[in-house]
Amino acid sequence: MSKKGRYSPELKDKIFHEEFMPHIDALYNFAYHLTYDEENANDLVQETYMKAFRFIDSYDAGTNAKAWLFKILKNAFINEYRKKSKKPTKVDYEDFIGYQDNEENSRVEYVDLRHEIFSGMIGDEVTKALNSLPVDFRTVILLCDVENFSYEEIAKITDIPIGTVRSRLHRARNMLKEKLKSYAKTMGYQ
Amino acid sequence: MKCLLSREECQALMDRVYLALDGALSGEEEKAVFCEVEKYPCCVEKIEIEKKYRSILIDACRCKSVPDALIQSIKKQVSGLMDGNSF
Repeated sequence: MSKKGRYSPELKDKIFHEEFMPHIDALYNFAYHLTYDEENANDLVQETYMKAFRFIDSYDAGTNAKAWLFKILKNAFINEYRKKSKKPTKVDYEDFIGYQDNEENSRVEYVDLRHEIFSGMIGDEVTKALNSLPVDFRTVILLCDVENFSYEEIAKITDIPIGTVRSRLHRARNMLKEKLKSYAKTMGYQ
Repeated sequence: MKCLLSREECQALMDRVYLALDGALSGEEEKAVFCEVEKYPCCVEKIEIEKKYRSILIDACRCKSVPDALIQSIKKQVSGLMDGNSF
């Protein structure tokens, strides 16, 4: 539904600076962990804010700017990723939905960690493990565990059902923890 | 530490714990879950480790500061659009 001309220029400016700009750090970190490249993260964030301003009339002032912006960024990333794919007709199942995301699969047990794993681990090692996950798994961990979005917000940002959000989170967390455990074992932390 | 619960019971409890940690439960439900967990020391330890793991993950993932040049570029472009009255 078109809401063009909804806000005056002054109100648009106010919304942009007071509601949109405060989330730039979070957006930048999200973009960085999607692309794993500073220059691409810069471009993605810039594109997100330009789109946000262009379509500001479709945003309800005073509501959930952060979720709205994250959705724009996620969609921009998907579009850019597909464009850059060398074989656009071939789906990369490693990165996209090659897993059976349904609630039945969430009956997999939880991977347990131990205190010793963290004793020597540093941030770079954690992000390395995170960045080795398929992008859809990485995304839900970033949105839930880092940015504290609710399941409902994540479902809207990623355009997947809430049940799929939960099962994907479960799998992603287990996968990340397995990587951390095996890394810790290699380094002698446990 | 051996769990006092069966594997199925432990998994069911941890399912609710994760919902609580993810903010998916009401205040009352969350309180009830953590009260339940208090009875099982091995589960309490799992939660402590999970919280530690999440804290490390957050610190690791929020390590990048947005470049000031990017902020200025965005503000300049928006200002340009506003002045151009494209809307």
